[in-house]
Amino acid sequence: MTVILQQMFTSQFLNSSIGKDFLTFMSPENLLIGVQIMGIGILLIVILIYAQLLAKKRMYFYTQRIRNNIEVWISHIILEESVDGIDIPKKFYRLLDDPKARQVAIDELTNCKKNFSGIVAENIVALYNKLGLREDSLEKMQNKRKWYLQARGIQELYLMDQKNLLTKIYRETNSKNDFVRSEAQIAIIYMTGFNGLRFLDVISYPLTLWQQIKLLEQLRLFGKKEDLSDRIPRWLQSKNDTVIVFALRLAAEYQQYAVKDAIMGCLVHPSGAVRTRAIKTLIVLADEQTPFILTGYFSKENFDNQVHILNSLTSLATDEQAGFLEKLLDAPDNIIKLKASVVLANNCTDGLSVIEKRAALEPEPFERILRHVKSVK
Amino acid sequence: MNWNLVIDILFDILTYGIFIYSTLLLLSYIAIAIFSIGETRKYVHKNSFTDYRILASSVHAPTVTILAPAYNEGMTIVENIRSLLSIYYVNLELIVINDGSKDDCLQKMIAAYDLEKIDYFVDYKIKTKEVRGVYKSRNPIFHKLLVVDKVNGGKADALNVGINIASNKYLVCIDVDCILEQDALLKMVKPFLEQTNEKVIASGGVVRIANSCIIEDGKLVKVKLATDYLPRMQILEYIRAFILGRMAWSRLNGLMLISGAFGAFDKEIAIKAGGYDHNTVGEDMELVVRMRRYMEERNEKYRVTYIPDPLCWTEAPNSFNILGRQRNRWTRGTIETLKFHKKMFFNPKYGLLGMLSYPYWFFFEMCAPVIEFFGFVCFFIFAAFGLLDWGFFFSYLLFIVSFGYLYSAFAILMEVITYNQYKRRTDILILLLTALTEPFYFHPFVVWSAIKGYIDYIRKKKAWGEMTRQGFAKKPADTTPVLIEAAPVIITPEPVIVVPETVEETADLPKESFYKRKIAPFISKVPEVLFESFRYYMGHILVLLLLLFVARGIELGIDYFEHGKPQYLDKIIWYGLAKDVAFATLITIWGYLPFTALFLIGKKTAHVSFIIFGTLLTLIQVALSQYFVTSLVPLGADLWSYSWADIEQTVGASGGLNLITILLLVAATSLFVFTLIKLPRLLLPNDGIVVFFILIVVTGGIRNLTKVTENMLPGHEYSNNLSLNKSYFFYKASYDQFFPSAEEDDIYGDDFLANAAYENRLIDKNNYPFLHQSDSTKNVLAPFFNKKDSVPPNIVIVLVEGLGRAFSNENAYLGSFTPYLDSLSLKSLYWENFLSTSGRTFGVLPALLGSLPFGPNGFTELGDEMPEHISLISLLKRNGYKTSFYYGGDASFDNMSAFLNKSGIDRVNDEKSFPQNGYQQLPASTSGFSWGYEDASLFKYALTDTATLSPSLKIILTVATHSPFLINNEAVYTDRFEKRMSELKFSEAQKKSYRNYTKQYASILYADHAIQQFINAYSKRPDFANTVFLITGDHRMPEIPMSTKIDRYHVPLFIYSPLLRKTEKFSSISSHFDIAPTLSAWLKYSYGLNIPDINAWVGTGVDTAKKFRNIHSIPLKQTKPELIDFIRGEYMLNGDAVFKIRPNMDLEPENIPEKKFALKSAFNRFKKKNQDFVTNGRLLPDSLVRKYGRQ
Repeated sequence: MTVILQQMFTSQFLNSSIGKDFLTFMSPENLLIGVQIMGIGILLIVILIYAQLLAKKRMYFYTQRIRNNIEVWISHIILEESVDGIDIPKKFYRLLDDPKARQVAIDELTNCKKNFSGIVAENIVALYNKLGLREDSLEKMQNKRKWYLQARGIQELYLMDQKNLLTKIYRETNSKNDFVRSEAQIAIIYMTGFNGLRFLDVISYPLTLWQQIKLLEQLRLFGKKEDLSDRIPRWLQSKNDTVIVFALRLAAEYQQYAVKDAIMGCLVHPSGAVRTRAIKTLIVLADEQTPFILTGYFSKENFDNQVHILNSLTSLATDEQAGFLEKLLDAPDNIIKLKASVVLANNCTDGLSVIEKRAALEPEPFERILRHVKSVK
Repeated sequence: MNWNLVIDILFDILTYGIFIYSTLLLLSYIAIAIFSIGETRKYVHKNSFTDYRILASSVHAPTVTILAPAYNEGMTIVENIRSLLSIYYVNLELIVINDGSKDDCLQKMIAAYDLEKIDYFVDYKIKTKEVRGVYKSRNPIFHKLLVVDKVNGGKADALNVGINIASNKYLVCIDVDCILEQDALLKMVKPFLEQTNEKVIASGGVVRIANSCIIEDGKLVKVKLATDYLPRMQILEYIRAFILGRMAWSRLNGLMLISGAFGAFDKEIAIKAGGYDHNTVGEDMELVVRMRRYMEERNEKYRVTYIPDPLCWTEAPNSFNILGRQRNRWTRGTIETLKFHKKMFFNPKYGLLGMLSYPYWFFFEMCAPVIEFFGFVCFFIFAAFGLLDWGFFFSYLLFIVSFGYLYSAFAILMEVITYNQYKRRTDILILLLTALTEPFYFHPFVVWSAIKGYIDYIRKKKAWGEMTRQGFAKKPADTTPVLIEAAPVIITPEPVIVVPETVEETADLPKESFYKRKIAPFISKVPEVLFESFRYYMGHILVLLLLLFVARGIELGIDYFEHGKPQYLDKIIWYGLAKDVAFATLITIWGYLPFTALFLIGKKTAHVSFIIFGTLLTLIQVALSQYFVTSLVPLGADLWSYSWADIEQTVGASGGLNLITILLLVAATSLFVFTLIKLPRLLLPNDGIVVFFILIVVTGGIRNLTKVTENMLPGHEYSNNLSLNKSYFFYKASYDQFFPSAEEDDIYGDDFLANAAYENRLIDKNNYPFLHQSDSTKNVLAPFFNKKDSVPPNIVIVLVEGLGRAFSNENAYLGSFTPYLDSLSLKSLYWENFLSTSGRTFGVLPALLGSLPFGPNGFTELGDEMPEHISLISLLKRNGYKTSFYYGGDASFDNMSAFLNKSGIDRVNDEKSFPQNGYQQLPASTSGFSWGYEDASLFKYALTDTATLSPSLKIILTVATHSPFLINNEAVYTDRFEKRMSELKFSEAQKKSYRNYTKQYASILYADHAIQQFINAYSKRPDFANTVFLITGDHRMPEIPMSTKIDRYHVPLFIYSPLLRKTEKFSSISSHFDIAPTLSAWLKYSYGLNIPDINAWVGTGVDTAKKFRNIHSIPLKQTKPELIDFIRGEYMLNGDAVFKIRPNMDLEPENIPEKKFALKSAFNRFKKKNQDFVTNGRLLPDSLVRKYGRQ
């Protein structure tokens, strides 16, 4: 039996020409050649792993050495009035012949710069210039092929207050690359404050939420509030929705009551994100009229915005909204019912009794809603 | 229906299918590796100037809810929540969902965080099990925390409750026991903030393994490589999956799975898609697929992103039990998810998801274990039926294994380049080494667990497998390695729906039959017990195999020490190990049932019994190896054929037991016992490996592995024997000895009458199988002799112990070490291709003197049963000869004297009859044993016979060239040996290797010299002129490694006499069987001696053809019990193997079935006759015996 099977298998299979090609291709010899190649590959990878480990270790100590040196000069700078009086020995310059060392130096200086201000910060910048590191950053910024170098270059330059490069950096605020653009925008704000926001007039690429947060945080460093009422309406007209959203954020952040009307215009904007932001901004800038405006738009809004409006009404609503809120108890969504109930109970006279009555009529879900309302009241 | 065609097509589909599948798989791995490089580079660059701190403090950061379902996590919950609360994020809410834990989980949380129950409105947007209560802390510090207590409903249900309650925009679902890095959320949320035109619907994170890491106050303080094997293996798996796999899929936006241990979702889409599905155990994957499908079906642009930073650390299963269940669950989850969404399979409507991601998951994640398992089963079936091309199989296996290793190594490289969590170089080395074991240990288990997942899936078993936590609170000092058996905690899976337990208890049990009560439970336990006992057994067997390898090492070591490097060492090692494995498999099969029987009595009984058995087995193996290295032939059933006295004599001769041997024996025994006590516990295989072994054993049962390995021969006789498993050889031979298989019937007898001269003259086949007319035996010697007068010549037969052609005369392949015999050959009739008929001395006298068959264990072994026969002794004595035998040792050895007396010899002279003075014995061995008188003395003694008037027959058997090769004046012959090597122009390397056998060669030179002195002395005697000397070897000395199966029998034959008219060299093959017929024919026709026309000679007379040929059929008996060699024409049969004999007596394997069949049939005919004469108890009719037998 075995013999027959064996003969049948091997002979049939071998007879086909594909079978023969297949066997030649998949022959043990070829496979073993493959194994040898992979063996070499494995060996190479293992060597690479250890080379990498070694390189990382060496780099660590190398970095430490440069850092220690730089720290010496920085501590000098903290003590001295200006950098001019400090002699940097040739040995250190020689150390900086290595591009890796220069990068370590730049990193160290930029880190320090973030933590200091005043004379010391100025001196750090002076040291940066004196060591000729500015050229490195500039070179990086001009590297159009590697976006990460370009972005890094911009970051270094603005951290080192290279204001004379403002125009060059400004050009990059509408760069194709997200990261270059982002760094350029931050750079402009960093160096020129609120005035830098003028890039909002021109940018065609969207501002991500992340970028908006970064910009806002950057602006916050300037501390003082600025009147943006002349510029915000213009941005609210932008074709770039994200610019509108950002302008609305600015209006809320800097309490721009003067542009309230323009903001109201955004409540009918086609973009949901703009409308949401407009509602949120209006809530921040609320006055006695706001509840009426919000309830007026309520029915046209999506669920999320409706929830926002109801949430905001807990601090704005009065008995005048009671009718509107009572109607919402019939809304299909339980969350709307709940939110409306909360506002009713908290802000309207006898609001709680309205819900109690309703609970008697329609125990589910109003009994649970009632318990919730009582519990959070 | 043409079945051949169907099978053919199936086979092709199988072969090509596997080929295409593996090619695609390899290509996809390569693609993954390449994509992951690109994506990792991008991510690393991006990360290099991202400052996440901005987000940590910003009020603009989006709101996030962490959902942490908890089930029976009471042991660690308080600490885990503390860890989660310490995460950097402003707009955070933490919802812990207690999924109806049975432990004190909730109470612990209430106590630790000062919780109070609040009336919280839960909107059941996604249907879930009932919420029993919502708790908030009275302490404002914990304002972010919300605890939900609900009825048990499984992980998916718990998460759905969390989704219903969560008030924030983004959800981060985590396993509560995970340790998150402090900035984990910042990094996780960032992709959502970066979305522009593509909506980010979900974001996945890396899960890293925290076993052995140092964790303090719920924070990871120091990353350490896991000390235990299983977690370490999983570290490697996770590195591969997350750094390579997920990264690549993320680049393609094709991620289908976000680990349930750490993933973020857009709440809105999650709710719209319907939340987690609690009908699957793979809810994490299912949700992602459903969300993606939701987006695809609405044609909305979306993305699922992935963060490669090590953000989430979790404890990996540290026992096969729990790991097996985890993998089982993963498999079921994958099957279920893919089944739910089968609509997407190669559906272009779903774009990349349907065309690439789904098929990838289907073929390479879901089907891979099945295909692999199926492949293994096929492999075993093929192997069992001998359809497997082993060369291809091993190279293919090696190919796949090296690719897997390359991939793992690459993953490690990527890890080192990017995150480099394991900074110590040794850690990386350990990881690399761990990776080596994966395909042989860890992977089979994973595959088997996946197969079990399939089985469970088919059985529709749905269970939320649990994992028992050991707790992170361990301090480093506690992290001592835990033995595998110590770790598992038996946990029964929790059913999804809680069935009131009382139902079962109160239900009235109907009276069950005895079968159901007693027998059925017992039967249902049988497979489990068998499996467990097999697992335990395997641990032992693996140790035994290891010991066999050790024994193999010892054998090769001793051999190397004694004889230098053997030929084909590499093959010897590989084939030897293969044979050891085959032997171990055989033991496994035969030992399993006895072991299980002992196992049933008790684990310990089985263990102890195995220790005794294993030690004995290994010791015997070592002893047999030692025997082989000394005697250069493996011990077979010949052991049983020697009397105790014979054994004592032989063992004594080779040195016997001394103190060092005993000490070594004790040391080895202790080592074996110790290993067998300690190691089996550590080698307990996991489920996958057990299944693998079962398959191996089953295969071994179908296909006799030993048969397979028997064909693996390095190519040189000695090397072949060295590669044998000596135990197997011995047991097999012994088995065959005691339970001989019946001789096959000779069905083609008439076709094999090549020796027509012999076969046609058979007289009475049934009563006297060998009896035949012999007048055909030609007087071949007459043409070479002068016939001076009618006085018959004296005959002197010198049988030289161990004299082989391998080292004697022209063209000896080892070089000639018999200079005198070389010169004598030029003055003689010399047969260069002569054969002895036995591999040891026991056979020489009957074959040479009587051309007698062997009987079962050699003719002389028949003892009193020896049938009456005609021999040269009886014939010549009846013609007036004086007959005598001379031997330096004890002639009763091997029953020689009994045989000679039965032949009617006049006088047997052995050590007992030597005179007191003037004769020297051989030196004694360390045990005080000596074979007897040295050859020179023997010859001297033979010359003392001065009665030269009547013709005489003298038979002289030497002994000096026998193990232990001790001779007097050893130094002289050692010098000669050195000199001889120089004469032979040996290189230094050659000399070195020959010096391993100095004693042997020196003894040969000694014997040669003794013969020279003997002939010289004889030549001075008056009867010399009328004397014929016949010199041959009894067999070839096996203590110098042999090169072929025939080498052992290859001896020279010289017929030297002053009566010779001319000298000649013959290349044709003849044997000892031919000497008596030839001599008697010569004496009959040339000298008119009275010799019968009828006799029972086995031989037909020497062939005097000068060219190489063989006209004889020659059975050859290697050892007393072993009759497996047969020569006929130019072919040799050895057991089952056929060789062609080349003119230089080399053998080359020949595989012509017809030839083999012919040889076997002829050999069987001989064997039958050989058996019949013993059964009949007669060789000759009484009338002949009376006339020509002994007087």
